[in-house]
Amino acid sequence: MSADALTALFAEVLNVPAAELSEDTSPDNTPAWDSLRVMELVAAIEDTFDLQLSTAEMMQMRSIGLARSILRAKGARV
Amino acid sequence: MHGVHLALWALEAISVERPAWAARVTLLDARFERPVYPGERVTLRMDTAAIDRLELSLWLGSLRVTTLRLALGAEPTPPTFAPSATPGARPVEAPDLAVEAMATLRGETDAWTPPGAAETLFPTLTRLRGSAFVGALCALSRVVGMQCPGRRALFSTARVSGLGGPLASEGAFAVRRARPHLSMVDLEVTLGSMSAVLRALVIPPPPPAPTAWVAQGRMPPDAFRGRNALVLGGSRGLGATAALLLAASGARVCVTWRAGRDEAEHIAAEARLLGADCVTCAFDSAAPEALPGALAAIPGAPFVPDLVLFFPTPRIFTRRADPFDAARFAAFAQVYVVDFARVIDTLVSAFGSDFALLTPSTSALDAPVPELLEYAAAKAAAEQVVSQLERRWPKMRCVTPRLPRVATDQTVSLVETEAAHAVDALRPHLLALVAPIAHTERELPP
Repeated sequence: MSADALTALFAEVLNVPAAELSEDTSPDNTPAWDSLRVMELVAAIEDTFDLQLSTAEMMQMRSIGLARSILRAKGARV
Repeated sequence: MHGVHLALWALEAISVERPAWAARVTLLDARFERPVYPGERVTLRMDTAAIDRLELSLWLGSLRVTTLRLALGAEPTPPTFAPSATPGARPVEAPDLAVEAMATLRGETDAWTPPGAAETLFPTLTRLRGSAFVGALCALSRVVGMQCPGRRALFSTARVSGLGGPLASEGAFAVRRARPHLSMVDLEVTLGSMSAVLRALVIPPPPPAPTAWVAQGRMPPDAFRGRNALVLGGSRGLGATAALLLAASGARVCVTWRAGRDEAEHIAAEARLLGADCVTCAFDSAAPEALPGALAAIPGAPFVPDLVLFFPTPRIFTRRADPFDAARFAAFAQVYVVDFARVIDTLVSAFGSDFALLTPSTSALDAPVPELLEYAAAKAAAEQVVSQLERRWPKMRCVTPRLPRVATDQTVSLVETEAAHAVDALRPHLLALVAPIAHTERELPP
């Protein structure tokens, strides 16, 4: 999966145009990124990359950039 | 209200405005993004209208609450009217299962709706598509809310296909996947030609009410002996724990409640197990003038409060409509600032100012949390009120701890979140109410 595909995943789940997202996109600057969407985001990431995230990793994914770092650390090609 | 009701309302609107389109709906893809409560005004927007699809969204002010994508068949589907199934033919209330235990759950369901309900609530849609169509969609709500996951469910998404075929009044559901670490359940529902893939989240149960056992041994046995503690909003959460800790430490306690009479009585019964004198009393912080009379009615020795603890609160974690939700702030400020100030004025008028006061503030003032913006702003205002009380009434000792997130019914979260134990969070601040005031000795300059 290309790096852009992760942004596309966030765009799909958050229902926000991909062009409006960046590595700094976070719950602090994106109203759609609320606790319900967190669960959908994690589910979509787990399904797409065939991995499972721990609660600690979920809590650390406070931006798209941080999510990318965590996924790379788990061996995902993003 | 369940998202399916919103989807049906949107389909009714489309049926009125564009009946030819509504007659051709074969697939419904719904995403229920935020809750909507009865009485709220929702706006329907048509985002895309093509020959084979419609994309709709529902808005609460500037907040999108639901997104609907509809696929349209080439030809209109004739309406089908379901025979009335027998209501209650099978048990529908699900046991309160853990998500793990839902993994293999399956069962029957039906498209029963009360006679005339479809025609009354969605008249144009029912005329176009028939009561079977409405009943089939209502069945999805029934499965999620009453069968699996049940009453703690949050309906998240639904992909419903086969709406253009023959719909049945009876069908089945089966869980396809349960993910305990996400509190998430995916399930499938079939009713004749209709096949629906649903996703629901399961809100964890609230922590149990505190018991005497929680408080026993956690406080010095006599630190509050001879004191009368008025615990406003003490029927649950932090207030309930504070009441038990004070009772465990020798205080005579009055727990007030606004809606939770049974919970307050439970706390009083637990306090009595500790040997404490504990009574309950109905009280709404919005009507403080009733407080002296209510306290005067307490049997036994006159209850003159020399400890006052203020815990009334609106729900803290609620949906926000804007980056700064003024209505949400107003609700918090009404209780933490306006009601609080009036309660203290009333108590001072009735009993004088020689009492110790505890009202909790929040650590979100030190480490801002975006979703607590309005809550923290109201707590900051409350701190200002307290600082003025201390200046105005020098005998009044005020304790306003900035508490961290504490595990209570208010802080139940889908995501496992770090939260302090209520006893650990409260104990030092309760003891501060009766601690000797420290006087700093300073060497005077020569």
